[in-house]
Amino acid sequence: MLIFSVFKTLTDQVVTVELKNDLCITGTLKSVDQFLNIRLDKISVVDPERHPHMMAVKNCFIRGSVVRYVQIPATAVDTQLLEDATRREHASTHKR
Amino acid sequence: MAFRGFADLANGDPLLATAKQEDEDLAVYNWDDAGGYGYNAGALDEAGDDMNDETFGGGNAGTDFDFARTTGSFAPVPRAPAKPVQKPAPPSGPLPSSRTAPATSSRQAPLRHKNQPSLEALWKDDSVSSVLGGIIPRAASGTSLLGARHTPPQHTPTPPRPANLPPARGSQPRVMTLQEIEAEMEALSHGSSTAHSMPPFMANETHAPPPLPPVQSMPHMPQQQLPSINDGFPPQHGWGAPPPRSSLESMLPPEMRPASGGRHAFTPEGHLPPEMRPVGGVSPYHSLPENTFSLPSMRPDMELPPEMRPVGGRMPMDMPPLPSDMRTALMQGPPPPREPYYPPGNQMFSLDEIERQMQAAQLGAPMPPPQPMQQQGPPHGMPDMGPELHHAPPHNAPFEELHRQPRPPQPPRPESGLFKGDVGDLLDFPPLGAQPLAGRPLIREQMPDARTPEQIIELSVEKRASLMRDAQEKIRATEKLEAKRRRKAEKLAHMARRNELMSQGDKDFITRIQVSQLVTEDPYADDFYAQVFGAIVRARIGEAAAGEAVIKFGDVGVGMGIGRGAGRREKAMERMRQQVEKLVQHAKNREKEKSADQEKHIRALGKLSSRTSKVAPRPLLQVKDLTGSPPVTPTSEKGRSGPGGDHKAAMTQRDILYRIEKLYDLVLQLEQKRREEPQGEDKEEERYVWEGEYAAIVKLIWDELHVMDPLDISDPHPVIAILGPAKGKKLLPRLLRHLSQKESLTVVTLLIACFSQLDVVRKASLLDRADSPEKREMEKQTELFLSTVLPALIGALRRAGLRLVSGLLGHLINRCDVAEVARTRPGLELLTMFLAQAEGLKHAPAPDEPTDEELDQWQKTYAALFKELSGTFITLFPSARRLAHLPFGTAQYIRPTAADDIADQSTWQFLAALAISADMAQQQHLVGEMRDKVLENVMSQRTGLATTEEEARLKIDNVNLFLNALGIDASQIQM
Repeated sequence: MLIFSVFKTLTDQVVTVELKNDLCITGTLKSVDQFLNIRLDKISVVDPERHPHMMAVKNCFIRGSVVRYVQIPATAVDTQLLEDATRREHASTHKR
Repeated sequence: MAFRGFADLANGDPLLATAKQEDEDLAVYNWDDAGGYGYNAGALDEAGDDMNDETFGGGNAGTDFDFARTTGSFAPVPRAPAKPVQKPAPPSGPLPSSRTAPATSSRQAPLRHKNQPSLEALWKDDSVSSVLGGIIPRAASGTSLLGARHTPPQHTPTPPRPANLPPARGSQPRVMTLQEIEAEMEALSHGSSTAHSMPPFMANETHAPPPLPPVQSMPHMPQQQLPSINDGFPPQHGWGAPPPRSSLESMLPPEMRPASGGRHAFTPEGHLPPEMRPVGGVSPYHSLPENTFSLPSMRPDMELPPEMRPVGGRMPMDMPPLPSDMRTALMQGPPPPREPYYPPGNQMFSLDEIERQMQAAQLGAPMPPPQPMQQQGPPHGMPDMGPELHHAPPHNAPFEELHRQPRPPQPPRPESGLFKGDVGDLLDFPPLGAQPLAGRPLIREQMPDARTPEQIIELSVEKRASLMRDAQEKIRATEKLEAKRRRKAEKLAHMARRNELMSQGDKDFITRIQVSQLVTEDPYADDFYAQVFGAIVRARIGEAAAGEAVIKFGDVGVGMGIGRGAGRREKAMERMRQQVEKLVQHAKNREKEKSADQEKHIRALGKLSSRTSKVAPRPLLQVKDLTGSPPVTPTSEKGRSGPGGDHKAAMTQRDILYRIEKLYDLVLQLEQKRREEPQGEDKEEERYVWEGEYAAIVKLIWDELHVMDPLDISDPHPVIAILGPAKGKKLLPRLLRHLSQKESLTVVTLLIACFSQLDVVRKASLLDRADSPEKREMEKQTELFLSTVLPALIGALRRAGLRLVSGLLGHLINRCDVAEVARTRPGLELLTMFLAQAEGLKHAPAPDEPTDEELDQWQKTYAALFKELSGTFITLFPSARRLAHLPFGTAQYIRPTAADDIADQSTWQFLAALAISADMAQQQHLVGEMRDKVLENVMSQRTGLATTEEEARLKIDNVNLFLNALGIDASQIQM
């Protein structure tokens, strides 16, 4: 839930999603769900020559399980807060 | 041909009926062939013979005729609309009579009986005789089957008749030449109007007129006719004379109307139609109904019926080919009857010719023949039959039946003794018999048949109608179903294109489910980051909602990606939010119930694992829980047990980290407590409790921080150690926030006392060396310290009085190597801060006016500081330190950079602060030490050594910073 929580704050940010098939898609993050399925808008592929079929795609829904990395703008993340959130989650899971 | 026969029937008169019987004979054969109709045939066979007498006897005939007519009227309606029937009736009357030689019919029958070749044979064979012969026998059998009761008696005599009949017909056929016939046909075909067509017939046949009279007479004759038939048939019309032509010709006559000169001939024909109706009526009707039944079914499949009918009625030309085909193919039974007729008329006629005639007849028939037929009643059966025969088998069947029936009746008559009585009656009527005797008897036969048939017909008509209706309904229903199915398939095909796509509805549905799983009772527990981040963002934006700290669904950052759209969208969002709230509520309730249930079951079933409704992806990496009993500062334990009760070994990195985390947890708890702080005046009790809890946590932190440990307990001191890692540095300011002023001052004192133990001070020399990972790390840590810890210290100092400042500085001077501390940026910043704070406090306004004692203490402290630093002022400059670490001799070749000037800025500030507080002697000392540095900067600026204006400006500014503190300016410096 933590990462999801973080991604929720990243909506409307430009992110680059790297898929496990090496396809890199850059676009505006529109939404994320708890499976980290990602919806991107105004997408562009990092290497369009290798993926001509993506030329016409303007938005997409990416299943969370096929995502390898998501590159997010550093300025959009509060590292301190992220650390705290991690601690909280850790604490809460160990309380249980 | 059939048309003619029908037409005769149409004439309706009893005579015609009798004539029809002759035709019927032919039809009867068909019946045999039609074996399919068997059920009727079997029943009819001999059983009915007895009845025939009764039926024939008396005035039944009259009624019969009527019946025939009635039946005819009924029959035609359903099948084929009486085209010319009604109108042409009168004219047709004659025609039929002319067509059907009265005698011929009777004669033909016998002939047929003699010749029993198969119907097919007839079709195949050109020779009419063979055909006839074949037909006749069959006809006989057929009659037995169909109209056994009625017809048999009449027909029985037929055998003898054959001989007689032929002559009569022969005469008729003779009259008509093929050419004539053809002419007629053509005329008929050409003359669309019945009237037109009629004339030709009349002309050719000439008999036409005579027939009419007989027809008229027929009604009266019925009874007489029957006897006459018996007597007459053999002898009548001199059948004996024309016998040769016999079958062939006899056959022709009906068709050839003209051939049969006498009224007899006509009458027979005329009778024939009626016979056809009645006879056919019984059996035929049955057959008809069947046909009709079949038709509906056939029509859809075959399509022939509709086409056939219209064609037959309208387009004679088209009809001809069809009939032939139809007959052969479709109508096994029917074909023979037709042939017989044709062949009998003209032996000369080939089948083709006959067919042509048929066509012509049909064409014209509609006009002349149809009229009679229609009028009488045959029209019902006949008209339909005619066209149908040609076109559709079903119709043909009736025709055939009609024809056959008449024939059978004849033969049976003579044969059956029962009929003798009738015959006798008939004999009494010899005169009649002489003329159209055969026809009359036939009529009678037909009549009786007709009666029963009538009912049947009526039934059949009704049935037919109902059946037709049913069939049509069924067809319609099936069509509807088919259409529906097609539409469905179309729709499915249309939708199939998007089979794998999600509709907006699907997406919304999933979104709702997801949202429902995301919304939780405690947003900070599972959604801490987003919630706090949102709060921070909102705080930054300045729109912090007062009472609403928690982000609700749909707010920014919830991740639904649904922006603030148009009004419609917001409405949708509102709706969704409500739904989600409902879902959440349900989920909560369910969980409560579950837990309640679980407690019940635990005893019986053991522990039950239950997952919450929040379906988070299962973590694949499951690390064993180490929290059980973490090593609570094991090293520190060791240290305690070590030598010197109050001295411990430094904390291990692990201990430090662990303690930091513990402190973090506590701090987070505190922060959470802060968020839960009860608001409002009416919550005193809650507030009291909350404060208690809060204070307890603060106490935990205080203990965990080990601030009160002796300063020398370890090196570094536990508190200082915590500041080692970056996260420890970050933690301090957050800790201090929750501590009381006294506590925080204590911490600050500790920090200053142990300032030299700080990593950023100890390893500061790294910053003066060549680039390295350690240096970079040190720079980071230094920056972090300056941005986190130092401000906390300064904040604490600001609250301190001059005495405290003096004391703290004294602490620093006493416990640390001030010169070393001053050579670090944090230390330099701290000293600057001390000096500035003291300077401010020295000149503080009245209430906080420092006492002399305090001022004195400060002066002493300052003097100590100055003393410590004197002689090393130059080394306070980072640039100078950097140069010092370079290999010997290289310094001259390295020009100072802007970065150096920036780095030196803090040093210049410290020197300025130092100069302000310094007395004259100290200032002179200071200036003396700084002289070279100041001149260097001023020179580089004035001589243009500084490559850029920015660099020059920085140098001068830095110098002026220091010089201004002394009361002079760089511009005053004389080079």
